[in-house]
Amino acid sequence: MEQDLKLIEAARAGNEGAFAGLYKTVYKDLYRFALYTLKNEADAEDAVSETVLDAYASIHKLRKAEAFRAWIFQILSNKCKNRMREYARKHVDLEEAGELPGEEPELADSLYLRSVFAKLTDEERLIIGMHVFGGYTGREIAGILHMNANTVRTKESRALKKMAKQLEDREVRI
Amino acid sequence: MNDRQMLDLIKQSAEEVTVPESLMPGQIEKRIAKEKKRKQKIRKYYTAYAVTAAVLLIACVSLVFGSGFGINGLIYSDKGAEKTASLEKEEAVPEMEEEAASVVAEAPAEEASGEEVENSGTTAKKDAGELYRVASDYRQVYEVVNRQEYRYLTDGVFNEPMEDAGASVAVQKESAYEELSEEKETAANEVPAAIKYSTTNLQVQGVDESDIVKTDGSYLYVVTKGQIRILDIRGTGMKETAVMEIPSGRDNASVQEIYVDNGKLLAIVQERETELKEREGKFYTVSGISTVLYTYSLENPASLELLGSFRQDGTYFSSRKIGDKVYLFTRESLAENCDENDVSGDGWIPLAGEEKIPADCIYIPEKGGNGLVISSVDVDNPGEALDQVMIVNDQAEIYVSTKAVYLYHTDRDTEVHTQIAKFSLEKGIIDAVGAASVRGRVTDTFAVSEYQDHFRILTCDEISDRGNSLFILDRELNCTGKLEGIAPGETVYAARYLGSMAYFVTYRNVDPLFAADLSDPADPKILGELKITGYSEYLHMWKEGKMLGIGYETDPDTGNRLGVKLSMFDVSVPSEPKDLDTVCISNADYSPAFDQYKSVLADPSANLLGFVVTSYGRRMQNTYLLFEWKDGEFCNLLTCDMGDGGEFYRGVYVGNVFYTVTSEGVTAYDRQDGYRKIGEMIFF
Repeated sequence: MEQDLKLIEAARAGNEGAFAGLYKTVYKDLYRFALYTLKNEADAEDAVSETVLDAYASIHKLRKAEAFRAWIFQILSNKCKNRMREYARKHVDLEEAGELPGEEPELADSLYLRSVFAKLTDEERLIIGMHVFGGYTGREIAGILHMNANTVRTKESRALKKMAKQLEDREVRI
Repeated sequence: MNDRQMLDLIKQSAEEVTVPESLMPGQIEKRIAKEKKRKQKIRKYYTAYAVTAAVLLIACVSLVFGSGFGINGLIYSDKGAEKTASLEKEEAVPEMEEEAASVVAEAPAEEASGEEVENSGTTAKKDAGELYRVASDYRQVYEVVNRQEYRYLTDGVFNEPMEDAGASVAVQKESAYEELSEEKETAANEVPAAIKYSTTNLQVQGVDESDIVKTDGSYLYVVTKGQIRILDIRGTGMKETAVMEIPSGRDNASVQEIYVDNGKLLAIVQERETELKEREGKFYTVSGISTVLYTYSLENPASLELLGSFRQDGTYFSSRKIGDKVYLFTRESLAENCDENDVSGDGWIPLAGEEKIPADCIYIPEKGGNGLVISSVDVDNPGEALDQVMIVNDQAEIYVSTKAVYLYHTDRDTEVHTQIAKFSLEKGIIDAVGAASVRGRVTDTFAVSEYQDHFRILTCDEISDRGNSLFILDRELNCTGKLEGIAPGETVYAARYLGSMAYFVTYRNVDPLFAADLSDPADPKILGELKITGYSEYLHMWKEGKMLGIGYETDPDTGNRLGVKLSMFDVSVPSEPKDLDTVCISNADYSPAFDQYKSVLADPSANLLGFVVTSYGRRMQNTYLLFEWKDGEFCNLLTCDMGDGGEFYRGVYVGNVFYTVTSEGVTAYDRQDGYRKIGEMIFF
């Protein structure tokens, strides 16, 4: 924590090494979040990459230094939302465009789980992604998505139960 | 598998994701180094860019800090002795340990600290014990806000027990109903004498709550997609009378919830406003969210007359209406805007009405980055507030009785404690009474209740495995009595107080329903328990000594869920609760009744019980189920598909017609004719 705050100070002063140090603490989750919401490796890579450049360009504006993680996740989630909107506009068939694997029973559990996750709606993936990878709480997600906090909770819970049900139905080993 | 396990699985499944080489920190460092050079070359572009970034920043940080509950890194202490009100942190705050007491009440400070600053005109506010003190100026508020340590960079969300009271996206159970003695339970209303109609399912009788569907017997008022639809349901059929426009004319204005009472419609509207502001020669767009209470006369529902409006900063959190006073709760992030050099408070102290909340109406704890703003408005004078306070706090939940508001939140700084503060609401004036700390955390939002000036709170402490506890606190929040060590290893899933009795459900693999007698506040006693399979998530008092439970049926050996279960208990002899009838809907996976009590219609006087169950099959199916209790068993009156796209589901009766309402439309059924469908209206 102490260390991170120092890094943020340095990054804000323009030190790219410090920025990279901060980035190191979040990059895996950033990429996972992008991959899980966009379901496409190339797009996830682009989204994270744009996010990083945006973040670096505006890090001196981060007045509350402690919030780096939440801040950069917010930039990324906006980018993902815009891309999903773009998909919808272009009628991209997500099932096909997606690189998350489809149903193949012999796949390892985690890949299977990813395929189940990929079947959730855009909104559900966004909500759960923000929670799992971004570390946002229900109320924060509600704020970001302009939804009622109860609705977010309900939607997430429904989505999780939907997934659990599919897993149970196929008796995937936990 | 519960939600938390599912979330864990999702997280695990991502562990082996390989991050592309181009995104590795080393690569990124090189890229941004290049970027830096580019930045220096094109200064002009950069400046323009920074403005955009500022907008982003404002938007994002407010969301982060605007949270109702922080993510805490958990710190568990295994000390044997119980720590008390743990406001002390690293700094040498005076130790407050009182020998092994699990409850600490903090006496109200006699005199708020002296001098009057720019005052709100009312008498000086009192401190809420040690928990929240009245600020003497904005600088003090600034210091507290700036002391806040955000913990995003710590281990993250997965250390947080998912069922924490409001602390997560997990199902938040809301179950206990208050004081519904059978006489009061008549959900019927005064106005059109002949027609009886349902009202919003409340937490506390006498404390009205806003909702998305209301009726006054003549019209249905439905909040959907940010607007209010008004349907004329007099006579036969339904016709749309009006779609209410938000008068502000602002973008992003959206109706959250409404009240309909006594010829008035009160609409709570959340609005976002963006302005272009100049600072040191540069321009910035700045967005702020505020919540407005619009009060209309319902004399002519086709053309509503605005009687007044009151605006306060922050996102809508909750509201209550007690008699003719409305209490509006909003949350506002302070951390992102507060400026060391500007202790005038301009731009970061929230406005209530047109004015900044005065410092002597601001309660500050040791640290906190968000404000809970509470204003009271008289419906007969809806353009201004009677009083307002801001309590700096990151995560409090509220419980509102007819006389007071209680704020409570889980504090994990030492052991798991619940910090409680009480504010009286007399004649719309909001003033602190005191504070207390009890061991454990509240797992059911409605496991708290006030009765005859005593506050009862049921908590769990899974960490120390000391079981569940029930504390009774007096008017000043001194502990008068407690029950401890109830069902160790189990968690409270649902609770319900009726007068001086408490009923609650704890669960591991079977469901003990406990009945406790609290009539002697100094000596609460467990009278009886009933072990049945499954567990209730929601309890509601029925008539003639019966209590209703909605929850899950489970396999007692494996704990697997077998469906959604409806149970009727006989609690007329509290020492011997009995299970009278059970209906299990085997293909149902969930019910909104578990976490949204307003979605339930439970009206013993009309003998109606309605709720939605959800099945996650090939397609998600929501089904409205309506039952009556007849001859010792549940009888199904209506079963109807509610589709899968709705945002909310309500059942409402008005005279002989029953309506199911979703965000997408309304369907009418004839109660006299076997609940035959007689009308439908779809919202476009």
